[in-house]
Amino acid sequence: MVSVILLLPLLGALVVAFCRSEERVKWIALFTTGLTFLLSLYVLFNYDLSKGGFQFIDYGSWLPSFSIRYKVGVDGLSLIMLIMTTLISFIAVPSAWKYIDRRKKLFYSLLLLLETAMVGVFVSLDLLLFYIFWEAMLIPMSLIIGVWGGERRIYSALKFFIYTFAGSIFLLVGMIILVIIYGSVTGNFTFDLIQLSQFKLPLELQKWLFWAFFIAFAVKVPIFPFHTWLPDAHVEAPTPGSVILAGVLLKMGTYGFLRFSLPFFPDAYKLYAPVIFVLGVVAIIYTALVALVQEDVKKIVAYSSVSHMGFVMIGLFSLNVQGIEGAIFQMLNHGLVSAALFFIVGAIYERLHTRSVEKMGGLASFAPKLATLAMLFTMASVGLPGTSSFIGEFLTILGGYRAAHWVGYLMALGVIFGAAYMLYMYRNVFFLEPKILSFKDLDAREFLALGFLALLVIWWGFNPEFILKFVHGYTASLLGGV
Amino acid sequence: MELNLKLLFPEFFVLVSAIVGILIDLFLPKRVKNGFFATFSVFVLFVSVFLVIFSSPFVPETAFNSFVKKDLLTGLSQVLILFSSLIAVFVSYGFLKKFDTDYIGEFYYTFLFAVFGAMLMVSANELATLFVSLEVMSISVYVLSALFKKDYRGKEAALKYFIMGSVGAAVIVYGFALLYGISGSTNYGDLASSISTLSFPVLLALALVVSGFLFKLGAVPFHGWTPDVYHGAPTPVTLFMGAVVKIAAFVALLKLFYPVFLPLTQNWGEVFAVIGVVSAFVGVLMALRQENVKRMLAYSAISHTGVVLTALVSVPAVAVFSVLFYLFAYAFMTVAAFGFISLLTEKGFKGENLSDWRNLYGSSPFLALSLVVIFMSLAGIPPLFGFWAKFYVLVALVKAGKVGIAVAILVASAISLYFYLRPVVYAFMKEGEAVLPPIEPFEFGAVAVTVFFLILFGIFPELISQASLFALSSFLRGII
Repeated sequence: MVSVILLLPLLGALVVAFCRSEERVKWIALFTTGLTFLLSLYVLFNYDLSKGGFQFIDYGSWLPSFSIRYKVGVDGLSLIMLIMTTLISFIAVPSAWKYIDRRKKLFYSLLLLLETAMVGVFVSLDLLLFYIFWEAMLIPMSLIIGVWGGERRIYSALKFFIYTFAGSIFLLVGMIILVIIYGSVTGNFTFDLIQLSQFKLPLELQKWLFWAFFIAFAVKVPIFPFHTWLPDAHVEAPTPGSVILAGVLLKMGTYGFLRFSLPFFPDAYKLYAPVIFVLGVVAIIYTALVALVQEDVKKIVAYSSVSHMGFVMIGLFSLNVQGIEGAIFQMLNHGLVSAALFFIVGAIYERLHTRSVEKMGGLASFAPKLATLAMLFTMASVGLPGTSSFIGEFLTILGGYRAAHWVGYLMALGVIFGAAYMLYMYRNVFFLEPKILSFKDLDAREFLALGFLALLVIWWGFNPEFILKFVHGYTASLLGGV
Repeated sequence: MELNLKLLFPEFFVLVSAIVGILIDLFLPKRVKNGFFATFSVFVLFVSVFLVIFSSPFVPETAFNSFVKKDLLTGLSQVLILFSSLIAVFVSYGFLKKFDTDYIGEFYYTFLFAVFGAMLMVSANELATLFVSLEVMSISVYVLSALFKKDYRGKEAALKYFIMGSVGAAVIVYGFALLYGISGSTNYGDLASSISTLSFPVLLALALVVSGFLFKLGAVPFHGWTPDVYHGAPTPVTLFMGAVVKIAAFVALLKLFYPVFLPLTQNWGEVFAVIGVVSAFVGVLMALRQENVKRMLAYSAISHTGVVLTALVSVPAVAVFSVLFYLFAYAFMTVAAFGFISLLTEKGFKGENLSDWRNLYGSSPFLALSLVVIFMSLAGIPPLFGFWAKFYVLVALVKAGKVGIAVAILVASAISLYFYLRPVVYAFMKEGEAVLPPIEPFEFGAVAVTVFFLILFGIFPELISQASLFALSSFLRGII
């Protein structure tokens, strides 16, 4: 089943590539991503919670000479990430509907290829398979930025590609070292994730490998001070690119920490948690302050992403149930909210052809639907109770507080700054004197896509257990091992 | 006297065909020459592939009083040589249509002589045979570079390559002479048994031979000729140089190195590691600023050679395996890349520069996507063929405990991304209009097939791994 979800977008990409009509490709892409989303829902509802662990495992021999296997499956964590990925990809198609006005065939093929690679990252149970998807994703993403992006698109695309690639070279070497050491100790050469995670490395080695993996994941998250590619990439990327970048790509880094760093190097992970706390707190506060002074709407949202990912990082390294569950929940929630915010920014840009806060104002009087939904997502980003963000932020702050009190205090401070820049932006864009003459409200397509996300944000805000119940078993087994 | 002629049947077949080609050339009118000789060469190479497949023994066999020794390593590299040559013929056919020359027949039969030299070189088991085959191949390539009318760049390249190549060959032959003087034999087996200590003359001889080979491979510090020659030579000839000459030189080096040189001193690892890492970095740093794609690929070839050389640090079995796999991937990528350039080239060397590729996607989406595959594969991005080559080298290095070298190579490959991405940037992201010359369908087909292989073997590398493992075990039988 998981293999079908993995390969369906690839098939869709081929169909799009060979489709003759430039207009029909949108519908093919929408259909494919929609079907993929439905299939991932099927997996979600058929996941056996009482059993836990990895389910829906498909495997086959792929490179027997190096015992690298094709092996995919989902556990609680992967499942949440899978749902998020297929959902965001499904939302990305309507966000591209009008924005992408040339080379549509290429765009939708790349989008679908990207979806396959992203799903692959979250469901791979073999280290090398994971790495292949992790890297393969770079080509379509940087092409999306580079072809349909803004003025400095080429610079941003190259920066994104080279920065992430440079980070992940250490991951590759680290993986090979890990596998070879595992092979020399147990006599069993394998890239299998489950087998490797039961292996206990000596602390000295854990320290080295922890940092090797850290660099790769930290660039992707991005953790301060590796975040400099993100504002460039976000600002220059076309709307669907930003939606996917913020919605899914950033979660790959944090997913990597949970999936690899924690089970493989638990001692080093514990040892270096304070370092991450410092970096996380710096990210939360520093980027929030940077966001306060930005003029570009997209940049504000981009910096807010870095800030929110700081919460996730601290939650992950707090090593208690609240922190980790909160972090996973916040990953999902940030995926929805930031995707929605980028969608809104894109919708405004399509109409006004500017992203500068100064040139907007008073949009609320022209576009009540847009203003209402934007209000909801702004509040969600701030962390208002009743939205899903509140659950995520609250739990991660609780986790941080339990790990070290000062971390909790500073995180809460970050929430205040977050409220400041988001509300400031909202006021300047939607209220104040109108600086524009006319503005079209959301059309049905945009309204449906955003409304769907809004429903989810509120639903999961009131009923977080719907998601968290998948995570409980995973967290328990994870922390039991530490 | 043991002749065992049937072992050399594929080589003889190519040689005889080349001579027949000379004779036919005398009687054909010029206008049919290109078509006829291209078909003829394709036929010859195609048949040779099957001859090689059916005549390569798993248990090593010798012929001509063990002047040549064949095993699956030889067989596999010959298949690779023939495949690359086959693509080269398709590319040449299109190229000769676009560029005028009086020497069409000469081009094809000299080409067949070069293929013959390469095939013999990988089966050589004796110093004189090795040298003669090396020269047959090299001289043919010098000639091929200079065959086009008004192509002063090609003639300059040919002369440069000839002068420098002769020096390289002289260095090798000095080394051979010393080895012969010390041991009284030119046969690898006798050399290995009679030279057992590392005296100064032996060391000198080894240094000369290895330097000569590094020259042929284009590794630092003997890389100076590569950019000018790659850039200047006609593109199909560059393709041949990049793929076939490199495979032949590497495999010949492996066959000489493991039985004869390795037992003498264990310090080879460090030597090759240093040369390899330096080559990898020099290659990528020099390639950063190139506007001409052929020149850029020349520097990238230097860096790839460096990466392959570092693999020799590891234990023989792992090293030979990863070198062989790398050669496979590298041959496919080089063939695809130069074939692609040749497709886009027209009179006056237009189409070789990055700026000629602006908005290639607008003119031909298929070509632009092939470009992505080719250059990303060269950069080693999964899931393309080039990634696995890099991966196996890394495994070899980590197995040998050389993590530092592994990281160094990857850092070089991260830098290399910058220039491998530039063609993609030009083809997709820059405004402009790429003017395409008329596309020759055969040439186009050949490039498309290679690109398809880059993807196919990227997703299913097991086939090549198994083939390399077979060749490895057959090769190890011969040296133990």
